[in-house]
Formats: sequence, C-alpha cells, structure tokens
Amino acid sequence: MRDQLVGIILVVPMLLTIISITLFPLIFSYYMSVHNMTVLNFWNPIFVGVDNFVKALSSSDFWASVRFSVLYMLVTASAELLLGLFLSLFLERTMKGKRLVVSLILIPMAIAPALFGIMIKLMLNEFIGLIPYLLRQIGIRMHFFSDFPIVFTVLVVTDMIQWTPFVFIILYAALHSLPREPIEAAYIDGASGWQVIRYVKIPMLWKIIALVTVFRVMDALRAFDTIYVLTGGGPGISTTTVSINIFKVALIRGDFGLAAASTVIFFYLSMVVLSFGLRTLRRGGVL
Amino acid sequence: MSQEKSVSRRVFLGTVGGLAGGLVVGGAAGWLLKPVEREVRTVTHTQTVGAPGAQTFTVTERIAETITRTVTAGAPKEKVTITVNWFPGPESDAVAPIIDWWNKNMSDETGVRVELVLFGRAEHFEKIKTLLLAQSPEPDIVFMSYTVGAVWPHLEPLDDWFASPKYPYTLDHYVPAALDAFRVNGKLYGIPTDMNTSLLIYRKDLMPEPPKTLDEMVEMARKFTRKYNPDSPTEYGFAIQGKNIWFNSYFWINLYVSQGGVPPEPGREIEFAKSLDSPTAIRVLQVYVNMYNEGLSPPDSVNYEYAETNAALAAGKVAMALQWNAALGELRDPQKAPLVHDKIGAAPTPGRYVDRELVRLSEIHVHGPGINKYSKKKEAAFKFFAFLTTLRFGLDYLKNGGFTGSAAILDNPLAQRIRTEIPELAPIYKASFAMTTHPDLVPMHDILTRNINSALVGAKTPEQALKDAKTEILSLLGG
Repeated sequence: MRDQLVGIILVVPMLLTIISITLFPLIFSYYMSVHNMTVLNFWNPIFVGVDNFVKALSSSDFWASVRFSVLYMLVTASAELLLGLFLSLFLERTMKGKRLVVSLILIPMAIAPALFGIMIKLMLNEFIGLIPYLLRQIGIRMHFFSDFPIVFTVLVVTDMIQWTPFVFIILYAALHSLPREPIEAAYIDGASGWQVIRYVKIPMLWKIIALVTVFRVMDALRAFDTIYVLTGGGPGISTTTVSINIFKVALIRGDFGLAAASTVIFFYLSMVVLSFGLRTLRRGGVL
Repeated sequence: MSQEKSVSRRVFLGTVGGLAGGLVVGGAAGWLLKPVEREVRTVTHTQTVGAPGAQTFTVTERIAETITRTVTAGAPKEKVTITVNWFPGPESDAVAPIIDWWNKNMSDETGVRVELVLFGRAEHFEKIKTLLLAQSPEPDIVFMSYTVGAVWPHLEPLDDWFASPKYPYTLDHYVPAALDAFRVNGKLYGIPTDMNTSLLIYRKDLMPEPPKTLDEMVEMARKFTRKYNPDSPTEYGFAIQGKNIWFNSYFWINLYVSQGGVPPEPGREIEFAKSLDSPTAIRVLQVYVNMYNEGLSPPDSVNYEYAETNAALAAGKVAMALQWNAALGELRDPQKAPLVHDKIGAAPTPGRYVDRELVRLSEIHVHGPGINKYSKKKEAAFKFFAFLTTLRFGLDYLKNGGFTGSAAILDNPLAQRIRTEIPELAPIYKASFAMTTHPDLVPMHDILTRNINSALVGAKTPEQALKDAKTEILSLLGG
C-alpha cells in the first residue's frame, strides 16, 4: 500500500505536466473556437457559437490547405517508408564502414527543421547556391522555386532527407531484433534473398512498419517549419499546409477564434485518417 | 580551590587575529560600498536644425553624461538587467555596439544592464504579438513597428513617462509623421528609431541615369537582361520581390501610387481597397506580371524577399530592384558586397509625368521600441528607453547602419558624412506618404501580397487577383 502510494506520488508531477501541456491547450482551443478572439480583445472575447466553424468550413483557402497537406502526407510518408525499409534491409548485412554510413544517415534528423529549411534554401539559391552551380557545370539550368511541380519535389526531397533516417533507424533496430530461426530456415529451404524479405522479414516487421507509418503520417499532416521557411506557403498558396494556414490566420490576421476552429476541424479530419492506422495497431496488439 | 583555566597562546593569538581580520574586511567593505558623492554637471547643446520639408526648429539636448544624474535619483545600489528586443538584421547590427557601450560605460552609473534579445526576422512581429498576448514580463522593451495599432493594449503608454521632470530630453527632433505612427487614440506607445522606405536600387555603373518612369524601368530591365541583350553584363534586368510574405506588397503599392493610385494612408484604407480593381492598379500589376513572364526577373523571384534580392544584387546578377533602404548599408559594404559595393545607386520608385512634372511617391513607415506593459522593471527600462531618444544614440545608430526617424539627425552635416545616402533619400522622404497604422494593416497586406503572388505565378489574372484582393480587404475592414 505504502509502495503504491510512493509510486503514485512520484508519477503525479509528470502526469500534471502532461495534462497541462496537452489537456489545457485542447480545452482552450475549444474555448477559442466558439469566441471572436483577436489580438485586441484576447482577454475579453465575445461568444459567437459556431460562426468560426462556418467561416472555416466555407473558406476555400482552408480546403486548399487540407488538400495540400493530404497530398504531402501521402507522398512523403510512402516515400520515406519505402526508402527507410530499403536502407534498413540493405544495411542489415555485415559490411565495412557500416557504422559510419549509419551515422551519416542519421545526421539530418539531428538538425532543427527550420534550420534545415534555411540550409536547403541557401543551397538551392540560383545565384549563390551550391546545387545550381554544380548543375550549371554540367549544362543544366534549374530554378527550384518557380513552378509548383519542382517546388513540391524540393519539399518532398527535403522532408525525405530529414525524416527517412527516423524510419530507417526504427526498422533497422527492429530487423536486428527479429528471431533468426525462421530466416535461417527459409534460406535452408531454398528461398532467395528477395523471397526471405517478402515472405519472412516484412511479415514479421509489419507491426513496426504500421507504427512507423502512423508516426510519419501524423508528422507529415502537421508539417510547418521547413515548408514555411522554404516557400512561405507559396507560390500563391500552392504549398500552404493546414498548419501554415492556421498560423497565418492566427498570427498574421490576428483571428485566434477562426484559427482555433480550423484546428478543431482538422483534428477530426486527421482522426479519420489516423483511425485506420490505430485500428491496425490495435489488431496487431501494438496498442 | 578552583583551578583556573589557562588560555593557550594559540587560542589567544587566533582570537586577536580574527578580530583584526574582521575589522579590516568590514572596513574595506564599508569603504567600497560608500555612496559616491557626485557633482551634478549639465552640459547643454543647442542646435538649430531643419526637418526635411518642414519648418526649422531648435533642439536642445543635454549630452548623455547627464542621464545618470537627472534620470537616476542617486547612485543605485543594485544593478537591474533588462531585456531589450530588437529587429534582427541591419537594425540589430546597429544597436548591438551601442548596447555594449551602454553596458561598459553607463550600467554602473544607471544601475541598468541591458541584454539584447533577438528572434527570427521573418516572424519577429508575430513572436512579439504572442509574447504580449501571453502577458510575458519579458522582454522589457519590445521592438515593434507601426503595427502598434494591433498591439497597443499590451504596451505601456509613454506620455506620462516623457512628461516626467526626470526625463531631460525632447521628442521634438523626430519627423512628426514618424512619431505619430506610434500614437493610438492620442497616446504614444513607441519611438521611431528606424524610418524605412523602399527605393530603386540600381547599378549606377550600368545606368548613369536611373529610370524615372515605369516604362523606362521596364525598358532598362529589358536592356540588362541577357535573354534580350546577349551583351548585357547582368543576367536579369530586375528582381521582383514576389514571396508570399505580407510586407512584399509595399513595392507594388509604391509603383501603383506613383502611377496615380490611392495611397493607403491613415484614414484612407477603405478608399485604397476600393481602388484596387481600378485600371491603374490592373495596369501596374500587369507590368509586374509581364516582367516576370518575359524573364526580366529571375524565375525564382516569386520566392524572393529582402535577403534573396540583396544576394542577387550583390552577386552582380541583377541590374536593379525595388528594395528597402536598409539594404544600401549592406550593398555598399566592401566586405559584404565586394563585387558591387562601389556601383550601387539609389533613386525614388519610378513614377509618371503630370503636367511635365515628375511625380514619384514612396511610403515611409517606422519601426521602433516600446515598453512592455507587463514588464516588472519599467523604471529601469525607461532609463535605457530615454537614452534611445537622444541624438547621440541616433547618430551612433546611423553610423552603425540603422536609419533614424529623427529629422534633426537627417539634416545634420555629420550624419550626412556618416551616411552618404541621406541626401539620396531626402527627396524620397520629402515626397512620401505615411503607411496606415490601422489594426488590420498586416492582414490587409497579407491579402494583397497573396493575390499579387498568385498573379505572378499565373494562378490568377491580374484583374482577378486585384478584384479578389479588393473583396477580401473590404470584408476585413467592414467597408
């Protein structure tokens, strides 16, 4: 009994911290979303009911940002999952310099996303950037921020450089913890390398793959810093994610109520997407 | 018979030594902590100056040494550290040496030590807004702009502070419009340490005379674009600042107003919004779009703002651009722009001829500090704040690359020797309009920039873009 009490007392500070940084913002968001809350009346908002929700749902900018966020999530999450899986399978074997290669792969993940965006922006500057310079040496002239397809590719590749290491390291660790017997048995039975991967390793990894996918989907849906630094949500609003849209509504337009309503709406839209992932994880016994 | 306790020699000597040591330490501490008697010395410097385009007036100022005697009541016992926020970039580069000077020379006497706090330039004002909304007591001094109209409830009204007999200086040396930009409902909330405008920065080695009209600007841009002139020393004739960031609309607004459009001055916001779909506005935006589509501006210029435009000019790739006056300091610095530092000219935004008279207009706007209403060190903050209103600060700030809103300084020959572009900028400041300080100023510009950017990338026609901008801005302003 006493031990239980001590345990509870030790856990309470952390619980309170988690509650304050998750529950309070959540409740306050709901509060803001039903009020007309701007910079001038922030501490004396006016109750407006569902007005902010109607405004958000009828805003073409909001839906454009939802479409872009979903597209961005689908492309980056799939690409990072495939590349991360490939890298983890490739580096699973014993080879010289593997430790160095793994360390180099992990470096981009250690850089703050906004800073990483600034680095990429400088590297791609058409006049002073390294990459356009190298491309010009082989006769290629490229402008990276003028057309949507190229801009989108830049954003996806930037995200992949930074977050594929996350997928890689989790799958890499999972691969090393797989039991060896089924794999060896498959080889003994004459299975090729590709067959072992497809029929033995990946099925054994699917729970981890599902977990990593859920993480990347959640992260990609709320992408903000790198994109904002690189393009500001432009050209036009073509690369404006939901997070950027909400940021602009809140801090540039100063309409916190509308921004909060947009946040609540997008939260529920995201839950629809995430529910599939969470259901898979529950079925697999991960959750 | 009682046995007397004898005191050993060691104990006796130790006690005496301890007493003597204590007396020495206590005496030294008392001497060091003794309040310093200071003689009040006031030096008055009177100078008659003329503000650009305004009447002559007299400025009287006691030099900075007196601040310790008059603002402070006796030597302070404890030093208070205040946090001062500034705008990162040329502005913070200009103020940092002054803060170092203050900490070395003034902090002991005033009891105020200053710590400079910087946030990212791009989101500086949003960051300040967030801190003020959260009622954060720091920074004690916040750097804001004429967007004070949106955050004034969270700033300390300064009129009573400046009216106090403890404040020995004057605010009369500021450009009146610049100071008024920090007034809301008649109360003052900041001081204009920085006055900004946009101008045409051009390569004077390539263009002995800068373009005076919009048509001349387009013609020169074509002449210095290699696609149309293989002999052009620059790759592009012009750099549009097209990034979807709210203040980039200013460049287009200057062009539009110079062509006869309605300026977004205080009180004319709705009139400005209603004029956005006028033939003049559409024509100016069409020119912008044509310049971009015809390759007179780099393809990536739809993502350009201050830094990228400077980089293009400094690399010698672009012949001219509409840019903030702060860029002159960087582009004329041999270390920062070695290729072009001695080739950079400045001129007003191209305009038009009206009855044979050339009309060119630019907006001026101001930036500057205010005191955080929630600061717990307002008294200490105001000591430093008072120093910021001195001519000495203004001159040093100018010397370090900032650009003051003080008329007295701009007309000062010393200032003009320090910053040779002041005579170049004088005609711009004389023919300028003040940007509105409406609380919805930032969202207004955000809407306009977004639509201009959409037109540049071909997502909308110029006509549709400006029509949409007009509708959204009128809805925002309730017009």
